[in-house]
Amino acid sequence: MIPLERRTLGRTKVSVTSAGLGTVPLSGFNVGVPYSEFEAVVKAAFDLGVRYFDCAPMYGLGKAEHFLGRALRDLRIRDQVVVSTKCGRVLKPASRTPKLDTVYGIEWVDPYPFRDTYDYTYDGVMRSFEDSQQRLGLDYIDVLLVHDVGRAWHGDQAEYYWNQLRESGYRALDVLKSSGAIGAVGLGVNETESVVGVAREFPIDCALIAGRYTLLNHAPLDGHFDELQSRNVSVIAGGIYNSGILAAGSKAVASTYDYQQVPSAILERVRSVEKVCERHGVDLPTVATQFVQAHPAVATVVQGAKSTCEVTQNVHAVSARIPAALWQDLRNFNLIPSNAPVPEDGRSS
Amino acid sequence: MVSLQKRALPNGRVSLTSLGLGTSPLGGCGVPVSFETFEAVILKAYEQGVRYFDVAPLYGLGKSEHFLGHVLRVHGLRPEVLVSTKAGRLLKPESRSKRAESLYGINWVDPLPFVDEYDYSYDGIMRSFADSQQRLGLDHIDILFLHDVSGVWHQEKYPLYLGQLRESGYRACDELRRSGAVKAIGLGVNETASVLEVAAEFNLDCSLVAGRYTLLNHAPLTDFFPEAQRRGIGIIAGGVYNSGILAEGSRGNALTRTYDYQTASESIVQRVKALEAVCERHNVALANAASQFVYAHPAVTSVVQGALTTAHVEQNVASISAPIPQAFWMDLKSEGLIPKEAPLPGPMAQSS
Repeated sequence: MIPLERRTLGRTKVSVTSAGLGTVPLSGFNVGVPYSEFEAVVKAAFDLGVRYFDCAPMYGLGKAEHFLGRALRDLRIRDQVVVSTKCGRVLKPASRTPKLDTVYGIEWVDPYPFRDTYDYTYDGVMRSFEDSQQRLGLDYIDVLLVHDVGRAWHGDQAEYYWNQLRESGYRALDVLKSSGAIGAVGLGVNETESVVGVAREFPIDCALIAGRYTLLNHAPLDGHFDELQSRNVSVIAGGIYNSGILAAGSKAVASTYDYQQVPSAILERVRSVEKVCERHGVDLPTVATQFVQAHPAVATVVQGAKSTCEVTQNVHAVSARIPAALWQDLRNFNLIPSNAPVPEDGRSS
Repeated sequence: MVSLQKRALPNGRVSLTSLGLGTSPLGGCGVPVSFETFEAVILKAYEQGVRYFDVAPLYGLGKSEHFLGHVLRVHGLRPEVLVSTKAGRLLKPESRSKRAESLYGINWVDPLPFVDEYDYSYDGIMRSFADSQQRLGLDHIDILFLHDVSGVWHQEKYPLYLGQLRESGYRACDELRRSGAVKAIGLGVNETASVLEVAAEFNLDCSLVAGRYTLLNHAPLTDFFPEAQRRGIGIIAGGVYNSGILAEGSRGNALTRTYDYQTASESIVQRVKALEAVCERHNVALANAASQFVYAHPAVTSVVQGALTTAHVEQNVASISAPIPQAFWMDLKSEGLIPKEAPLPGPMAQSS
């Protein structure tokens, strides 16, 4: 096994591998996953060199934390890996409510019998963190990410929750970080705007940003990534396949772009990228992954997996060789902007 | 499938099977216990008719709660069973330290990385309860026991902790019960004195009392049980083998045939031998007599026994349900091995 490249988050001592494992698909996201499979996927990832695992109270409404903690304990690898979880949602037991799943956008399969309540106040952040420790059964958590701050998720309520952070939530993050309870602090969101906004108010170390910088979406190049770099905020990149199209390709029947039907213009671009890939004998997901990783603002790429096979693909995608000429072709065909960084030696790790 | 007898707590809000499963040994008490073993024991107990499971934050420092909740959820058993846990100890993450092993009397094997801190205040009890929900991953808990509210346990600190209860802890118990978050409140202790002491101040529904009423210890007959009955406190009896000797018998390994966790004295061994002689005459297993003697008392709602293996579970179930001839009990009385006033199982009292 070739060790995966490591980068530190911001100015902290927390060092993550270039590939991280996300646990949404393992938490009952449309498909139920028994613990044995959860553990098998964590083990496969670890065996392939992955040393960073992300979860959240929301994933399976507590289940991801229960399962991840147990897997790390059972496999006796806790001290060798970095764990991130999130705060901003407190899980409350929902007494005997039979059908919780419909209350939420996500229909978790067999979730824990909890309901999530937003709370970004000092007390909410502290309680969320301590509850995560009880659910994970771990004595320390490396990275704490404030979950779903900003308009992309909260819409009209965004300011209300953001103000909770300003009034007291930031202080909780500061206490947790300065006391050493956590090694790094950041956001976990689907937008770059709130990351930049928060970074201007509070010294975050990192941000897990899903689906904002990909082979098909280069918006953060227009200033946001530069600003995050100048503020020492490392990007943990998620959703790098834009929810499916960059993994499955243009020929797949059920591909989606950011959870919607793929627009025809996007489909055309994917076809053009695929032609370049074919010419150089490289698969599309590998190019998609290493494109994101090549940006110096990005510390790691987090990808979900619900099978050991998917983990293998994910790790292959960060470590397979890509000829430098492929990137040149993508530039020549205007498929990536000229200011997008590409792996210098043709291989990112 | 075996159908175990059930009795309701005096408050009428929950009915417990004659046998409950205690999960202290499954928390890894001196020996390692895998999740697979934990699961197999719970499933065996369920298959054998047990519908009551007792756990505590202390057991495996959170591990028994994690495991029990997981097994009940995965197998869809939660609606079918009653669950009790305890309050009074908060589990705090103890960073990268092995202190937990040496600080406590119990050597939990592979516990969760927590240490326990006593807290019987309002906040402590509320937090303990909420943390148990998070660890169990269950939205409701049926019975909450205040763990080790006991002079025997806390010694000179006992007044301090009793003071916490008086100042605010009782109020937490009251709120949890009145809101319906739990159906019964009690103590979980190894003595009877503190149960009466607390009961004089706070209305208890039940109490888990370990090792106080057994074939070898009849003290509660005269004062404790009548008072508990008068106050409507259902007794859930643990430790019915006095920690070993009544399960293993007089010929057992001297290291494990203990009496209340100590080496059994010669006089105890002699009494056990006398009991065994009657057992042999009637072809009754000593352990069965020990379990059913305790359950025969009307103050007792359920007998809780731990188990480390599925074979233990089968033995436990047999001990509470195997028929025992009435003449056996008569002989115990006539030989003065149990007091005249001790209630005996009726001829039909064994489980159907």
